[in-house]
Amino acid sequence: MAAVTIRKVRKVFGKVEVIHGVDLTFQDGEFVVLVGPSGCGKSTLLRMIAGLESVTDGAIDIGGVVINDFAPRDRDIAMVFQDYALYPHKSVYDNMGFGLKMRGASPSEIAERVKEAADVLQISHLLDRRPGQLSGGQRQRVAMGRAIVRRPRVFLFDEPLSNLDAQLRAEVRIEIKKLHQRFGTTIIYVTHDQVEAMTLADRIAVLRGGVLEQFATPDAIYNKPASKFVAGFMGSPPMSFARLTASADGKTLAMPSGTVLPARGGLVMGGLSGDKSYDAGFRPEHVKLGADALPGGVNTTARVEILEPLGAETLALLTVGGAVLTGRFPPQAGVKSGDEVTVSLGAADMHLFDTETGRALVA
Amino acid sequence: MMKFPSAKKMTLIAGAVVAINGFFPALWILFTSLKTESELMRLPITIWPAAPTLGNYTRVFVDQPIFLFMWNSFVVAVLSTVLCVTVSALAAYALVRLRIPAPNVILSVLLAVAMFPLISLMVPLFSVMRDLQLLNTWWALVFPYAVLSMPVCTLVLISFFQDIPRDLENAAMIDGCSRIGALWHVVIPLTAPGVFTAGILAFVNAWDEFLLALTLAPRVASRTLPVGITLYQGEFSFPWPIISAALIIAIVPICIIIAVFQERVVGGLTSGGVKG
Repeated sequence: MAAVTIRKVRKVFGKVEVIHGVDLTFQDGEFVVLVGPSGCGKSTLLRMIAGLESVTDGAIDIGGVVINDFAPRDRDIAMVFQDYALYPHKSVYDNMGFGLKMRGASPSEIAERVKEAADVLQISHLLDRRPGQLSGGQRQRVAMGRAIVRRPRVFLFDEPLSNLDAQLRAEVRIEIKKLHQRFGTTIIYVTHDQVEAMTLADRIAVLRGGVLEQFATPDAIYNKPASKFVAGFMGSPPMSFARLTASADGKTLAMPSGTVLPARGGLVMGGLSGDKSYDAGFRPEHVKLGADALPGGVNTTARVEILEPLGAETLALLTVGGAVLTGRFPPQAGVKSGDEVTVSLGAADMHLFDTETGRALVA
Repeated sequence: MMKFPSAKKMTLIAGAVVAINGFFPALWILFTSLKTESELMRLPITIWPAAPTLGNYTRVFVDQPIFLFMWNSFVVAVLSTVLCVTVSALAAYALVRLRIPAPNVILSVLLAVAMFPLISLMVPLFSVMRDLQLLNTWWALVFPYAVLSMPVCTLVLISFFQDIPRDLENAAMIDGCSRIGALWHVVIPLTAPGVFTAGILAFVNAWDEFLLALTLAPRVASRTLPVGITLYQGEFSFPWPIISAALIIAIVPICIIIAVFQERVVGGLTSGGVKG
């Protein structure tokens, strides 16, 4: 186990800079998820930690040692790849034992460690098979087994679930969480799936265009997003936004329709400039059907555009005072598309963002 | 209205034409090797030997040290094949995987080298081998044969290496291999069909080559089979049946090698390692 520190790391491919000086510190034994849209640099950052990409500038430190110039094999890491990357010409046993064999482990030690890992992952019955004879879920388990037999200081996961179907993804996600609880090894996990990020991580690093947007716990990422991008990226369905204008005294905000919301609750009071526009973000659970449905909420009229019944709840796409917001409605709400309804906007839970920088104004 | 034959029939016809074109000369040589010289010269020409004889084969071994020629050919072909495939594999890997400048230019030059007429290389090669005092040694042929087969072997291997997912090598490097180790433990086993194809090409080229062998290693002790076979002809005679028998003997090792390695030249090894 080891802590990992990334200091002002930059990565340039030709003339394109894909990582712009990222600073991150992962604690020993922490489960960190790097998340962001395609092309944000999360996989590149992971591959730099693995040693599969060089570091243009800055330093990567594992367990207090800068490993920029170390070969991948000397970093004491293990990696699980998106496409499994199992050796097709080797059996499951040989796949799992290959890393130990390369490090000069004795056959008896290899057998013991492979058996132990196979038992943990419930793949003992597959040891004689080749990867081509396994299902996707089994292959991913073998890939994880190959990583854990080595007992490395850091596990790296590069979108390991993206090739699995939804049900299998949920199962393997739980397996990964169990593995972390069992071994307590530092895990750095890359995904573009924010559900994976929220459910697995101790802390989440949200990247965008090679820049770190926010590095915080899932709770903080969800409830205190540092930017409009983070707010819109994390959460399912995502936060929806409305452009509001502050009153001259900066104490209220008005929607284009004229609905007035108090600038209160978690907002930095007095921080609003009069007559300036702000992007206000509402989580779906803060847009409720019915007058006074939310304590301290502001009632307003909305038009139901689209309903998405999910069983336990119904997601409603609403036009509210010129803005399009998503609300969480009860399953049997008795409304249909085109209806005019009264909704309660959770003004106290509203997030405000600067329209130019996108940074949050909430403390 | 005229009806075109089906695609299957067309394939069969085309296959038959190619097979006959390839096998007929070999069969003709085989039948000739079993005939007496007088039968061969008789008119009308016979296809099947009227009185098959193995006497020509006996003469092959009696008239010239053909085992020595075969041994020389075998050693030269094996050494040049090993050298060629090793260097070609490294070159192909570098061109496919490493960030080297202008790989396409290098590939074009490689192709251009492959087109070079052998005759234009004879004098410089002779001069170099003489200066290195390698004339009439196996090495006088091993090095040129390896180099001459390298372009085509590299091109063959490039096409196979390109199909190997990069993450397999990355996984090997994280598991403890160096880059060369990943090539040896992962890439080469997975591209075995390509490696054997390149090897067979290099081996056959070396086994068949005549011009360089005649120029660089003409002495009996280092003579290879293609040059050795020409010794069966006399100043005023051309014993076709004996030469045909020698040719059949020369073909046999190639047939054995191809038959042995053909089983290895099968695709599908890479299935299952990655998604899909």
